[in-house]
Amino acid sequence: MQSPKFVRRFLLTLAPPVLVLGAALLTFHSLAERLPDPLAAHVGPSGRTDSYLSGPQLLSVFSFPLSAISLLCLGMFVVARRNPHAQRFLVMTSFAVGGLHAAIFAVVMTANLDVADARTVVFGWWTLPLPLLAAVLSGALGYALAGKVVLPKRDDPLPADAPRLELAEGERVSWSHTMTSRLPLVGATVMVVAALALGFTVSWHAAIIIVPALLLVLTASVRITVDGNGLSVRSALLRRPRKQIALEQIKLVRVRTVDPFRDFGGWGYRHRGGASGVVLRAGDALVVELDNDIDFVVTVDDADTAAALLNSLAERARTRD
Amino acid sequence: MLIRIDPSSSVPLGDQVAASVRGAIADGAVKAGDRLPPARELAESLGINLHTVLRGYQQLRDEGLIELRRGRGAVVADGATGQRAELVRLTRELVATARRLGLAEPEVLDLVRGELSSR
Repeated sequence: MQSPKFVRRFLLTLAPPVLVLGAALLTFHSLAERLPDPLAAHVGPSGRTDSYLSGPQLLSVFSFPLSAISLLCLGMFVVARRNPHAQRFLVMTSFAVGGLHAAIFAVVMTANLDVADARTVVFGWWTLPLPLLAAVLSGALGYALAGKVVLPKRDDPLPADAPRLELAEGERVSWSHTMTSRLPLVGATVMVVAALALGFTVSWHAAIIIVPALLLVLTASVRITVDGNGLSVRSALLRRPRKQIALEQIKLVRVRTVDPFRDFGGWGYRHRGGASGVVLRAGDALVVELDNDIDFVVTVDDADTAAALLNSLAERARTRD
Repeated sequence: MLIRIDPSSSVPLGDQVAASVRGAIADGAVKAGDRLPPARELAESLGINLHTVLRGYQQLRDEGLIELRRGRGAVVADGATGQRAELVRLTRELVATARRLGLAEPEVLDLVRGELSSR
């Protein structure tokens, strides 16, 4: 079954390229007599025009990338018919690409308008920032128009033998646990020392090592939360990066003993075989079975409580109004 | 740590938050030195007001079960054993029962004092 708002989001993905291409053709034909031939079509970093094209050439150069990206978006949209998050992202992309192209076309038309010789065309300083701004604004508009993601209720029942935790009607619950590990801090320290040593001896470019070192520090403390919004795993320091699994995505939650090295080939955010997840130590892990048949695994203390609670919340979400 | 609240109950939500934490200390799910979830995150998670959570945490601090430190958040206090949490719970029950019976404060204190000096 496709997700709700599928048709609306499909039309929203389709609309920007169609409108922008249509508007560009109409604008070009109505202004054709006031434009030089060839036109100044491209401006280099120096600010000087470095490419001249005839009208039909300009239109095809303009419409080819727009059409290609849009067809790609529409193709991916059909593939993502059950994934509302991806749909929203594609609507946003289509709007941003449309806005970018519309603004580029407007800038080129404005610069060429009422100019007799294309060599005298001057592109203003706003030639680059204006389209980028247009892309950001129209992308944001698309994101808003795509509508909030509401996942459909699941129709498969939770297996009878799934661990559960009794919930009262209307009761709100929040289970959370913070997993702290010193290993990332040790790793980050080593990297910073290496960055300094290389920085002073070889090249200051070595300072770039500080970026992965900072990312590593963020993983030293991870908070796992189970509540009415599902399961969330995130850095306890900045609350980002974050992995969120909605209750509607959950088939079943189990507890399994995990050996990081044997099962995942190491520690951290791992992906191997039919499972992905955050593996920080050996021992009990929460295993969430998802629709794509890739289990999400997170090692956490008191995984029994978390699993039972998540099952019960997911079951309640199946019968909510 | 598991926090449960029931918005349809007549017990104030802050008290319910405190009761959940007290229960977790009483049954050993959290121990001295463990951190409580940051109040802001817990409020978001439960869909209740931040100040409601803070009221619950302040109650626990007044009972000596947790410490609230700037920058470190809420941490289960050193002396907060399961038995101490149980004692706090019983005390609250004592006070609630006394109120229900219409006992004045001096009467309740006399009762406790009498019990303390009886052995």
